Amino acid sequence: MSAESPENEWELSKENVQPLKQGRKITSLNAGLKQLSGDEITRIKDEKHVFEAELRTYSGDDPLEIWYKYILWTEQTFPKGGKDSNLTTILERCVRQFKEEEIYRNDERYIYAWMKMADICNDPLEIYKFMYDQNIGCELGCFYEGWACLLEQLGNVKKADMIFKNGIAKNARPIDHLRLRYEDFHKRVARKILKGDDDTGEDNVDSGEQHRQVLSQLRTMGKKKRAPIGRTGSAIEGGAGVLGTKSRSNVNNNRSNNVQVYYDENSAPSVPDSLPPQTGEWSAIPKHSITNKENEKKPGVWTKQKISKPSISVPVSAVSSYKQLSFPVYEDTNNDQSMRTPLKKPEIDCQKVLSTRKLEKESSSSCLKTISEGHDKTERPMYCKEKIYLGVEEYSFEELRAIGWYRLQEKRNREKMEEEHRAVTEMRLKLEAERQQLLDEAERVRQQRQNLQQEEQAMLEMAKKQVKEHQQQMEIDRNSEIKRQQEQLEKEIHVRLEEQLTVSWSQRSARQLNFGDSSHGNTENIPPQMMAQLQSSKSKRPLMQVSVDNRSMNSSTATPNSFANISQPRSSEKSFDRTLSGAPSPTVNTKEAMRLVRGMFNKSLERQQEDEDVDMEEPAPPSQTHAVPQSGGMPFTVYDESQENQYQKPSSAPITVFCDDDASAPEPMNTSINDIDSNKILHQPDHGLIGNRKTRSNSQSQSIFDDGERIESRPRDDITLAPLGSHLSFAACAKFASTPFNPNNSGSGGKRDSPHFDLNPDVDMQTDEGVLSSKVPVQTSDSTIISSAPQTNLEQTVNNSVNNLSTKSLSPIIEGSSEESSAASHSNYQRQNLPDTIHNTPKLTPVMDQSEDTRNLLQAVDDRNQSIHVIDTSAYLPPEMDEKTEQLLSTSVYIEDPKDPFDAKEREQMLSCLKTSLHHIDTYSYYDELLPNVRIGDILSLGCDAFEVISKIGEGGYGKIYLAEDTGLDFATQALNGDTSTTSFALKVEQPSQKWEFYICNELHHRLAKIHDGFDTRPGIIQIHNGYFFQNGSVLVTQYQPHGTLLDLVNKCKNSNLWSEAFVQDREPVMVYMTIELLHIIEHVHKCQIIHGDIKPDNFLVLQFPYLPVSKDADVVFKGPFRFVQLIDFGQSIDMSKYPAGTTFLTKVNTQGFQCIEMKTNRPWTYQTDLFGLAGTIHVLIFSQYMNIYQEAGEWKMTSKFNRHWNSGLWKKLFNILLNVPSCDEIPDLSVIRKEFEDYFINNLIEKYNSQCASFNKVVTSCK
Amino acid sequence: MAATATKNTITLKGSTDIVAEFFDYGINSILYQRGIYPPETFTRVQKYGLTLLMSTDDGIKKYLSQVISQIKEWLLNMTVNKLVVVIKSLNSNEVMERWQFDVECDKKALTDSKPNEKSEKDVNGEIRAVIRQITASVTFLPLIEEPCSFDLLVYTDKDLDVPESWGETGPQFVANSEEVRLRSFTTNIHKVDTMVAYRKTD
Repeated sequence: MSAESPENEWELSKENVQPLKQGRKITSLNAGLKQLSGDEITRIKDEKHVFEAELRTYSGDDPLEIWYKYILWTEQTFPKGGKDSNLTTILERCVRQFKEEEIYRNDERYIYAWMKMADICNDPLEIYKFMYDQNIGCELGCFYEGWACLLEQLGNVKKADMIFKNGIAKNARPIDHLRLRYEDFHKRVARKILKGDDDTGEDNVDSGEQHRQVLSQLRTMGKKKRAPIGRTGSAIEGGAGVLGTKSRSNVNNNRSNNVQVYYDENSAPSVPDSLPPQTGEWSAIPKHSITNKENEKKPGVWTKQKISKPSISVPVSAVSSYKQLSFPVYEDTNNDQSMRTPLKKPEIDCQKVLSTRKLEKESSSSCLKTISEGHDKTERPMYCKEKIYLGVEEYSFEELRAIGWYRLQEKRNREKMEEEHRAVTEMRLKLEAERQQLLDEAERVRQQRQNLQQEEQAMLEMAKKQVKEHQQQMEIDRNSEIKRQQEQLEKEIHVRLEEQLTVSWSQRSARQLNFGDSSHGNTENIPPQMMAQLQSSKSKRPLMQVSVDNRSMNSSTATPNSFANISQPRSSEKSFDRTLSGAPSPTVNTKEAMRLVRGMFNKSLERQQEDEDVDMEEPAPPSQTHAVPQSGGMPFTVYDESQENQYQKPSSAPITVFCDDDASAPEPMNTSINDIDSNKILHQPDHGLIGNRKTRSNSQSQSIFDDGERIESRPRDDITLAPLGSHLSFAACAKFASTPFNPNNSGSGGKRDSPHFDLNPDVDMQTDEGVLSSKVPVQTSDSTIISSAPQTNLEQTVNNSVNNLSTKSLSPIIEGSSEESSAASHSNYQRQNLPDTIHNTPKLTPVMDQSEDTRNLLQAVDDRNQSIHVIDTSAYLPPEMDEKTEQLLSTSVYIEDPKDPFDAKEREQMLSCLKTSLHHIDTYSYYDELLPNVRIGDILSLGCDAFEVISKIGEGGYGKIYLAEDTGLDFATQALNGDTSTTSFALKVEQPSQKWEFYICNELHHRLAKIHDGFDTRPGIIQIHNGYFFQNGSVLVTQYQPHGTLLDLVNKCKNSNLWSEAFVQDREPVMVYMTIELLHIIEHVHKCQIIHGDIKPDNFLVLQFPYLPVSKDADVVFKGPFRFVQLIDFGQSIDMSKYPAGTTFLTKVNTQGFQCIEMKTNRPWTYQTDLFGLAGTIHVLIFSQYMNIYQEAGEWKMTSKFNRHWNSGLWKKLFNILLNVPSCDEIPDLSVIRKEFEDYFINNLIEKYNSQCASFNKVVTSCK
Repeated sequence: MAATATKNTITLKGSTDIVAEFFDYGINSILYQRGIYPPETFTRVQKYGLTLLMSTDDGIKKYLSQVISQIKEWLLNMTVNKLVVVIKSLNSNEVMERWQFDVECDKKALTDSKPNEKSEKDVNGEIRAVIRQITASVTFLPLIEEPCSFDLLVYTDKDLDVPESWGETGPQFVANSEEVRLRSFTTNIHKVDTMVAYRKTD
């Protein structure tokens, strides 16, 4: 025997395998029979799951297909049948599912399922009968074959015959096959009958063996004690055959010798001659549990059973009389109910199986059964019940949804992939085409260039020839002249010799002759720019062209079209020229002429305005041009060429750039836009040429403004300005870039903000002059000085810009190339024009960010009508710069790009790069809508809070501050503040929105929380309760402090008697205390790497003067929880942590009064601005005046003198430290001087302070 | 046969007899198991420790004995390669099943007269296993519903002189078949591999 191999598994358990009509796959058979491994089980499970899922999600028109496949698969996978296959359930479900489907009624697959079910179930005849009744499969031969075969096996040959006949009568397809089978059947039956006859005759005679009765007792008999042999004959006959197996029992009964079965020959035959009519009433599918329910008995407990007596064979008829059984044979007790549903009392009527049944409602305890059978019309499941219980498995809603979702996802993915693929291919094609186009273009350009070069060459040669001719002619002339002269000379000599007169005469005449040599004819009378144009007349044609050019410039309406064509070809400047000149072959000279004209266009308007001053060439007026032809006939000399070169220079820069531009990859998309731009821009000079000067400037600026707006409104500006764009966009750019200032814009107060255009030079220049910028608050109502400022500055601006342009001849491309370079050039520029700036400053002084009333007060404060700190730089000694600062300065200017810490863009960028976005801050709320209108007396609802706007507290350049009361809707805030009454808030309304201040405040509080040195600065810093941000503005909600600012305090004190001269001496304690507090706050703010940037008395809100505990310990005295001031307005703050270490600034704060010394002296600065502000603030507190400082012996000093009773040494030291910061690397440590003050205060002044405290507080709380 | 049963060696002749006998019983078993002929035409025979069924039909018996005797001859020559039982549908003449017995001959036995060291009992055991498998093949073979006939094909060496009663024919493969290899047995002279090919289920 060979070893058992896994392939032979089928053999070992062949008895467990149910034969299939269509055979089995040996692999699945072996797999099915093997002891399954975990992998196999999961595989089968997965496969099954796939089928189950498929059943639920199938969306095609043949749902039976899946069922069919599922059944086949189950058969193959579970060869043993059995419970785990669930085949019965599947079949039942399948059969029921499609029972009502007409299309499947005669589908072979469906009938297969039915017949399969019949095979499996115990009472297959019922199934067939049911099918027949329901007219299922009645048109299919296989149905009749199966039925007949079954009947044949059961021995009911007659009925089988009838079935066949019936099928043939119904013409069941395939009829031929059915007929064949019918014939086969006939043959079998005939043979059987023959054989049967033989058998009966030869019984026990022919077969050499005796047969033992199955399952009978093997009692020994006779002397040999042998068990009697009583085997049935059927064992011989049908036992082994495939076909005969099931008929055994039948035959068995017939052949049994022991039991006599008596037939009632008179009774009606059990098999009817014809099939019952198809009623269609039989709705319930016959199942074993239903059809056989009468005959089943649950195994119960047999406790009372006694095995007392040996079994004695008792005739059945005598059983009842013989003995009462100890257990009931059949009992339909209630005990069974828990296990089985109560069944209807069986009607034991085996004969009338086909009699009409009652349509009884079956109920079952099993949930599954209920679902499968419960076709209760009164109930209607409102969920996809059938899907959940469709197959064998039960699916949850989520699973079903997931299946659907996955499917959708898959589909989408596929679609997306396809789409992407398509897009990519399209893109590729497009790019390919574009590339081709570009290649063609490049080819064309090259050809053109070649042509032009050739032409140029030709021209040059021609010119050379001409020159040569001229020279030759000149030579001849000269020769003749010389000859003549010589002759003359000779003559003269002769004469002299003859006459012996003065020698000088002859010399003079010689000089005259030389002059005539160098400049032919009347050339010297023609103005220089004329020469350029006259130059053009040298070629054959250009005379006409020049006139054409001029004409086109004169006619304002006709030209744009011709200009529009310019950019259409790939815009080499040559083609440009050609289009302009309207001739196919341009000449070098016309090109030059055009450059000239274009160069003019590229220069600023002001330049045109000021062209006399700048000695810029003006385009020849038409009359002059007309004059050209008259003088055109003149021969020209070498002199012209030099002239030409001279004029070529200034305009050459943009043109070469255009050429570069052409070489770079062009972008055809832009051409249309450029068309429009170029139209407009080239159009402008026309006005200028026609109109008088005044209207010209107006209209021009207007058109520029229009242009700017138009471009701004176009979303593709950056594309236009992209380096790929055609040169015309550059021309446009140059136009804007070189237009340094727009008076009309500034006059109207509109903000000329063109961020898209990257016109930084433009903007920067404006800020330089301080006339207008978005950063500088301009109050038009303020004074005449301001309104007049633009005009007065105009000249300077123009001068500056013109000077700048003319001296440096800054090409617009360099200026507009990038922000950094512009900034650099800007700073250079600043330094250059420093005197101007300083000169301008006094006019702009009153511009400050503060409310009107405070300013009034301030003016009141200011005895000498001075409202700012004055830094007298007259004595400033620039050479004081030591090497270090110089180095620092140079590095900040030239190596590090000096950053503008107030640049809105940069701030925006910083905000966008925050580690934790502003959105994550609780108090931050953004609404994608416009800022609501804030009006006094109205209720302003912001988010979920509502504020009643009481009054306007202040107004500055950045926004307005309102006093508002919480209307009590926000209970949380109330609870926070611990009172039930309405709370007052200050609303800082700003347009556009100021996220920066919000950020700084939050950040500062955050960072301050990390400083633990006992001194809590946080009450001294404004806390923003809520920040509401809108599209165009923002509202910051802060606690309202009713006591005003330090400036208010100073003014109040001044009015009270406390400030009288007599009390000056007594003010020192309070001053020292305040100084300490201020020092402390600033110190901590700086520790947080934040520069406030705008320290001034008006930016400190006064809270209250606290009583200080008398102690010798500074910590005890000063580190109480109360601050007496609160620092506000962080709009100008700088977060130094966002810059690399060592960053310094050169930018100047535009509120001139608060420029620190470093700004004034153009040194890099960082924290100095705050220190200077602090010094100024303290100065105001002490002296009620703004600070005047000057430099003496390299040291900055202030003019004010301290009271002699004060500790003036200490005070001077303080100011000295604050004002004289050596460099950005050596920021003084405020804590040192603070400690000195603290010591001084504790030791000398604390009692005094406490005694004064109340009176000061009175002042603080007093009304203005 | 009873005499040979005790012997421990098998000669070429004895091997030929064993193999031929196996073919006879095997073919009869197939005919019975596959229902080619009505079961009533078979009778029981005890062989290899099994109850086997042999056809009682005279035509079949005659045909088989004819073929077997011819095969015996070829087995002795060791010129036979295969014996194939093809079951064809009577109506469509389609090949339903194909039982193939591959015969491997140890040609040394032709010259070498040294008897083989293998008892007939062992060989019978192996044959029994094969016959059992043939019986058990109903577990996977499809049900043959239509009347069928069988045909016997013999693959021999090429240069063999074929008697007149034999003719050349095609291999008669089963279209779209599944093949199952059954056990094999060997007499050390002849090795017989059994294989069945049947129509694959879709």
